[in-house]
Amino acid sequence: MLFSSVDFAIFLPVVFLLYWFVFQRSLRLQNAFILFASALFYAWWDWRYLGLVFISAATDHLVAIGMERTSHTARRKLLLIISLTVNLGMLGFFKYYDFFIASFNDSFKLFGRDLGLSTLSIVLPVGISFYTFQTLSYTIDVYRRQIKASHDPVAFGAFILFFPQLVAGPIERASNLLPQFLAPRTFDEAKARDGLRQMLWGLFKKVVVADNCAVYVDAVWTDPSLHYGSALWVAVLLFTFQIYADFSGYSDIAIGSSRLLGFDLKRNFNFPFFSRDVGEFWRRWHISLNTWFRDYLYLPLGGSRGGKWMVARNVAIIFLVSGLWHGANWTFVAWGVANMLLFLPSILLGTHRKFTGPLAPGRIWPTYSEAFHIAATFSLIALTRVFFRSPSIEMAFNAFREMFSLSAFRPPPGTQLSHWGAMLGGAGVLLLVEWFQREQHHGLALERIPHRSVRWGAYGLLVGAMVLLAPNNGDAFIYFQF
Amino acid sequence: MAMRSSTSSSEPMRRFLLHAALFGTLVLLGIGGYFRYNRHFLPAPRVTSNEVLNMKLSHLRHRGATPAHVLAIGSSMTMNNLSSAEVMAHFGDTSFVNMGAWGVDMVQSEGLAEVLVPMLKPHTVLVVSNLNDLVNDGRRFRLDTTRVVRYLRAWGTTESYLRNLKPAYYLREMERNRIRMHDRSNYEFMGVDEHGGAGLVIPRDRIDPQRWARKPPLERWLADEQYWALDRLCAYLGERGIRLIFLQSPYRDGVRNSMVDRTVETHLARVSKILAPYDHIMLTATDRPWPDSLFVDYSHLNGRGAELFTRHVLGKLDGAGGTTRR
Repeated sequence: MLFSSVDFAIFLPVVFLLYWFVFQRSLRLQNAFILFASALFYAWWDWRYLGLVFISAATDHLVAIGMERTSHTARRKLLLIISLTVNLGMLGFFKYYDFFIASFNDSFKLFGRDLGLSTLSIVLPVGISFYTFQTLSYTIDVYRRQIKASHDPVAFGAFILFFPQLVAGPIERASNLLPQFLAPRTFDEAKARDGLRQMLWGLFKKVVVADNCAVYVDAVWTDPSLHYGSALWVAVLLFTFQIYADFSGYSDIAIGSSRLLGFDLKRNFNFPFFSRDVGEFWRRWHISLNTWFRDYLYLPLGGSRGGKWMVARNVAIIFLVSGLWHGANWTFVAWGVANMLLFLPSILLGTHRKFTGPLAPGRIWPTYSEAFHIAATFSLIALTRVFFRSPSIEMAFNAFREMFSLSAFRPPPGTQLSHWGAMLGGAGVLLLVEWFQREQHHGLALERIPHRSVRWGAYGLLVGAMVLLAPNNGDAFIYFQF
Repeated sequence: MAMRSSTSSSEPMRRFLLHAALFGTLVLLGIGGYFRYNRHFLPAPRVTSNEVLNMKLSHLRHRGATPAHVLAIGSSMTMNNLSSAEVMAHFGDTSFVNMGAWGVDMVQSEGLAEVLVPMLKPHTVLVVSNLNDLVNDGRRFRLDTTRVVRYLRAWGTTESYLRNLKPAYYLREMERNRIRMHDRSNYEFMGVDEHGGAGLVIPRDRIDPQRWARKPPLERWLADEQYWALDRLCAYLGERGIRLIFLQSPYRDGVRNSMVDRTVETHLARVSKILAPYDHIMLTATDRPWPDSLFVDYSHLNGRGAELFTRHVLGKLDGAGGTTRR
């Protein structure tokens, strides 16, 4: 069920009303209802893969209780290994089996041997990378004795399957979300209103910005070799907007709909387009995944201890794994490497935390220096997206070749003027609104505006834009495939 | 004992619901009013993502299962460059349906033929094409033939809209239909004649310079997948004893050069080889000049051009069939 579909527009109000008016009699009933609604939400795509989520949840529920019941270190470690094996085993099989077999075959072909191992053409279960990381963080936290195991299977199941963030995050930590399932929830009008506003902003980003950019980007990227360098430049810049509007739009809708039900999810994006260097970008982009890698991979590897070269090694590992997490394709690994190469110099020079303070504090516009840093960071990040969007490494390099050839100076192929208006107008509105809201937690946090008519006018404009500017082929959210 | 979770009947909840309902009602009223005002321009149910094909499928539903002796399928080349009057004049007392629609490439033409041929039972299928129909350009619309069949045979009108509920699509297309249903000088003119053809009449001062200057695709852009689809289409029609007439539409003289002509010749040789085993016919228009004055852009003919083109190519038919390039 897509957040931007009519199905969800019916599903969410029904869940909201039943949740607050029918099942409010007890916390357990409410949690059971969330579990049921979440299972229905997931099954809307393919009910067959629901079993995998339940296997993952059941395993970690039992493993965590087992860990808590024993103080024997070896036994606790064994239980952790069981959880890691089950979760990463399922992820590895469904997401990476075909990729590794194909890569294995290819590497043997280089030496003249054709192993002919057959792939299985496995369909990737939606959201498996997200819920696997979420449930793993729970088990690891219990293993580290940072949190207590949950003894309530319904609350735990609802925590793992919680529909707003099940298929594309934010990847929640048990320490933040699980206690919210165990405490009574009271309807909070201000929170619910703000949730609706955040959902509206997320929908605008998805429907107007991301979906319109997708039309141009997909047309060019089906076969970049057919297009001039200029068209590829335009497509790369638009794809950078598309992926941000798509993914952060999803996160906004997820966080907003959770707030309607009385839950607070973690922030996933902090206006990353206004980053002044690559280090700041990665602190503002997909925060829940990056902090996951920090806590469960970077720090266990040694973190910032052990000198610059050790830190650089650890950072390099994070970027490689992050690349692979995004998809079973060497293009994602190359994307990770490209980002690593952009980030490592600042680690080695010790400047990676240069920009941690607020941006343009007390000023309306950035200084020339800030604007230059922002534009440079945006451009570098956009260039790495060539790997992210290309179906193969070869195609990515062909695209780069064309982008840096004379054909980059030819006029790009046209699209309808109204379509340019939707793409560029939408992206412009997104940038302006988020710039002026950069101190807020989302783009449409308008509670400071005292006049209701102004606020409602703004909502009306966004709804109107969505109605009139939505392209005919609204696609699924990009991060569903990860 | 179960813990009590929340109060739902509180004042804040009442206020929240009231405001949400009020805002939702205002939005719905706005949208509803707009629909009512523009109801005459309501587009056909969005069974495919191609609005003109949806319109033609809707016409077909109303027409019912009456056989059409001559069926035309394909892209805008079929829709705009084939003159219904000339087809009727050539084939005489016959029924003719033109299902050509923008953006339909050869792969989709094959899919559509498998839906339309059993329904309309034609003895002749016309495909008007040029190089663009054999390029995979990434903008291919989604065509789910199972849905099309269900729409044509099983779903009622209301059901069809409910199953394809895309309010934004209908609103936007209604606004566009206000112009393109009547304005023949619009490139997206959809005011088709009784057979489904739509001749374009675009005055000189309204010709889009970008479209006018566009170049035909290069040879390396032509996709094998598209030729394979043509091959399958030939086989499908051949097995049923239906004659396929492949009409190659010209480019305006102003964009032709030796490279374009060579690409067209290579393409025609390949098409000819595909048609040969099935005794289908290819009719080309490359044996005479096509002055710019007959076009509205680099490949779409104007009404007069469509008449001349259709008369010219169909005039080559001797009525005996056989595998020929003429």
